[in-house]
Amino acid sequence: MKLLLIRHGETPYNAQGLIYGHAQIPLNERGQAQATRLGQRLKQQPIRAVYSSDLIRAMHTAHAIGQHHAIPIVTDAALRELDVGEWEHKSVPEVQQQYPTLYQQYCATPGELVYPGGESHRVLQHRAMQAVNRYVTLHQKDDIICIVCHGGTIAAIVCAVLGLDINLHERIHIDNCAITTIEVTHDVMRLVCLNDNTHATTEEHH
Amino acid sequence: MHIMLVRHGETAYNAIGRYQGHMQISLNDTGFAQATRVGTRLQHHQFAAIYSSDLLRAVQTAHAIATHHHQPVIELAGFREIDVGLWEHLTVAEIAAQFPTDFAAYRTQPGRTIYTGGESYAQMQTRAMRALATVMQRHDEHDTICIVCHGGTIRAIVCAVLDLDIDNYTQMWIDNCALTTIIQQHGKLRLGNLNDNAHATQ
Repeated sequence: MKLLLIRHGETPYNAQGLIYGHAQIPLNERGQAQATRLGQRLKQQPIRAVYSSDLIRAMHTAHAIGQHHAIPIVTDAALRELDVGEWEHKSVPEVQQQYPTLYQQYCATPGELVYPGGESHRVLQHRAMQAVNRYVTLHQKDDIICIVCHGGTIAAIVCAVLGLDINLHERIHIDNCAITTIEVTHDVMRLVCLNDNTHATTEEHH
Repeated sequence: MHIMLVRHGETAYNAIGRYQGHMQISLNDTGFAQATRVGTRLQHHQFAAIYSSDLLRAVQTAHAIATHHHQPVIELAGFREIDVGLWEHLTVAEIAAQFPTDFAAYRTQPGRTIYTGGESYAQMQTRAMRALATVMQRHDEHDTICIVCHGGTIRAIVCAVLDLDIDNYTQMWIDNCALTTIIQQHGKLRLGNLNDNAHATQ
């Protein structure tokens, strides 16, 4: 079984570098174009199911994939981005200024810190892996399924698959609309592709 | 700096699942076709240099890339695959039968166990990272360089970049001629992508 983990397209907040988690921010024009290119790329793939975070930026991206396949999109709140609580809509310098102690704690243990009024990356990882494991039980061994979600969610899943400490989640960088692939063989998961963004235009490709 | 790590194309031993290590084995027809495709994919990149493991399968793959750039291939033994010692030429089933103790140790600690008469992944990682540091000193932050090497070598480098325990190298996979990118920014290394093999089907 192959799980294609897909990050949503760009939003105005991505472009401005603002922190956001569960805020409902739609794709910007560039993000819509990324999603369209992604949909084209996956058009020929025999995709069996599309699961998506229920946040609007993920759902719009999932529709760009699903429209080429005669399958419904199943939304799941367990795939949401990290709940960043009070840090929603803030820039990093604002957080550094307003929450100096918590920000220091974040830098020391980025996986453990519970965002004020929100959750930790470790909690995010737990809920996301529960969802992923549930999809695995619902599908056959040759199925290809898409899971459209978020940069933090994908990094947390990749950490779990690799056995990488969640405190190192920032080592895993995922571009908007890039594809990360997990292969499941006899219930063992392996990372077989990270951040494939070949469908991005040259100017976007790092 | 962008460091593009390319695994060599398929060999006859890859196709039948035999360990090859430091053996001098050529690409097979599939491997040459894969090398041609990766060469075409990378033809518009500006490489400051093209490096390769000095093992034949890597050098052949590197030449398929270098031909588009009119650049020499610089061979470095530090980027060789793990030395598999007495496990050379064998399948996993044969290794399990002939070296049961070492193979059992390998199954428990795949990164730390020394292949009978060869080296461990941890040892190979040390020499590969030393070779990478040597190469990086020759270039500046804006350069892109290409290094053609091996599935084990690439996974060991990725473990070092992520700070992932070397015993967990088995949790990832690299296809023949797939691209893996390491980015050096502000003095730090990060993983740009892993096992991008989009050119396999193009």
